[in-house]
Amino acid sequence: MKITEEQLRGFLQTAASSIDHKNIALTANLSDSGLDSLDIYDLIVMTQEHCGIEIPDADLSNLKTLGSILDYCNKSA
Amino acid sequence: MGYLNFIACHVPSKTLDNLENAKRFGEDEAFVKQKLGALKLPRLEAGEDTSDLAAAAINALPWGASGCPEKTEVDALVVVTQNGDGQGLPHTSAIVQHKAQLSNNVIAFDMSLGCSGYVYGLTVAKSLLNIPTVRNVLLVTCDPYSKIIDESDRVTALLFGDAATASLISREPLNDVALKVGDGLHGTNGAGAEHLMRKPDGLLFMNGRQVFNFASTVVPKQISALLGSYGIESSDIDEYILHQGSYAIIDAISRRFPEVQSRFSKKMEATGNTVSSTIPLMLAESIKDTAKKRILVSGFGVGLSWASLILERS
Repeated sequence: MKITEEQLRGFLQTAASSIDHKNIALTANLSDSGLDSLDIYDLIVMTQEHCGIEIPDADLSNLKTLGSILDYCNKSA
Repeated sequence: MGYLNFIACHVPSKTLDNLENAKRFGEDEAFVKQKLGALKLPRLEAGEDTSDLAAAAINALPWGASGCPEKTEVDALVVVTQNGDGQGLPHTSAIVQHKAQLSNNVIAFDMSLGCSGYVYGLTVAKSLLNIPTVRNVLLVTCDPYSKIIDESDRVTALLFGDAATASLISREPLNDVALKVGDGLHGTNGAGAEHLMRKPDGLLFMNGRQVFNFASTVVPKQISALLGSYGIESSDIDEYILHQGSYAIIDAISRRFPEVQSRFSKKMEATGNTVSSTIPLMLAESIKDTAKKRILVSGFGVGLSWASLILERS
């Protein structure tokens, strides 16, 4: 299943509730935007389940922004 | 039929300040408090070994008082550990039997499981009670990961603490707080073995992302299946005591049950992730609260292995 930017931002809000997800640009590095490693694990789990895919560890290192996650998941789903 | 009657714990007095520890890795106080949950990490004292912690927990039980049988009436001893004394031969349960002065006629063996070990152990204890001569089983958890922690590894150095617990499971309820041990669900997936293992250098390795992935997806499904097997709703459980891997993992699992999320307990500030001991450390308090009629326990970790069961007030 494809994922929209709005859905991904919803997952982001769940994973990192203290962060204002609206102010994170699609091109912004998530770690630099205040997400810690556990927030990112959480975001990826929710995204994987939504899309019905498993993101290998090797690919995760390339998914540092919301935009790259959207592109990757929508090509894989 | 098996009843969990008594639980005792032993937490070493020597502790590591995890807030200070976290500074080495550039992690702030909020991350430690809200995501990890461990403010103190208890550590074995110099000269202490796994069996010493285990014996201390056993000795903390009220032997011969409050309905608790005498030590001589213990028929079986199960020690859950993957970090036993010395090199693992002989089995640690034999050393514990001697140090705790249990009978020479006791059935004693180690169970090699990690964070799922307590729940598996309850199932094994209940099974042992089917042996005609077995009336009381002592289930001990003691897995001091400080023996294998790489203190330079940020993934594991901020999480694990040392502790031991001893639970007495018997054929009959022996006091007013006894909990009946239910039929659990158990799972194993060795395809994930590499995600949590001891490396050839003897130190612990954890792929945090894969373990998080596993716990936050597989465990909720097993909990739902267990509730379904009982024909009950999530609201019929008074407390959910999950293995305290980290607060982030508990949050990720409990979020799947929004209607009862507040019933998922979190408590690891003073102990950290003590592997198979996290659940009985919490149960030691909850067993006294008789308002809690049903408690669901769920452990998950190395293997990968996971297990859940329901304890009901007798």
